[in-house]
Amino acid sequence: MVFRDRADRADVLFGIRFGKRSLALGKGNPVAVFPARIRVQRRAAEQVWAERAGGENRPPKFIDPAVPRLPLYAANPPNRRHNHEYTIMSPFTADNPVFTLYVLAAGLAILKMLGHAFLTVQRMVKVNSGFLNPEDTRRTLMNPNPSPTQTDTNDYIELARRLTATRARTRRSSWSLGGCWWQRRHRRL
Amino acid sequence: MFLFGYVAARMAYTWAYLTEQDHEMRAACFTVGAALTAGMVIYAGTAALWH
Repeated sequence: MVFRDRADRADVLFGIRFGKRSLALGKGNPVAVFPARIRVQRRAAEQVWAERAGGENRPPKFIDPAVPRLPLYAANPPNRRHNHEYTIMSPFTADNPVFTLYVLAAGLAILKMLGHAFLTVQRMVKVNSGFLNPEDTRRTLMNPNPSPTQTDTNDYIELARRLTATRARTRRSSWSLGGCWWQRRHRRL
Repeated sequence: MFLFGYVAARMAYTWAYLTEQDHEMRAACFTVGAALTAGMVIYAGTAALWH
């Protein structure tokens, strides 16, 4: 239980230095605050490692079975930069697998939304019409034979355009909802 | 750098839109912004996966 005691002491230090109240209310920059917390935890862990290993500052080979274990993913991360036995996961870094999943899901949604815009472009280039603005009917390199009918409504293109607009509205709200949920969960913890 | 580039690209797009520039000019500004957005997504995704 030596490890747990050290971690608790580091927690107390953290509370004195930064103030748990300010953290809970979201004052200050969490990106700056959370690494500081991890550094404090890490320093405490390194002291214990040094005591156990006779002065060498390295992670222990064998974990004390009396110390409660974290879930498999947290205890065995893809690389072992942090020893997760002692590191508190911060909500807005890649240390947290749930936040990682959120980043990946939001990234895929963004890429899909970008793809919708280029689907509209591909269809406009294909049929050479369905343009949106009057200035699009000027003679240019990509439009050598302009015509006033190029701004007429074209269902083939409007379909893609509607898809883009609808997606943009729904995705925006989805990301906001995800952010609200995340903030709420963070406060509850 | 990605983010500053993206903001610059979007401002250029807004300028092109408001001043009724050619479609090519608008498309170029939009494409730069879209490419930078895709770059940010890929950067964040790889950072999240292999941090």
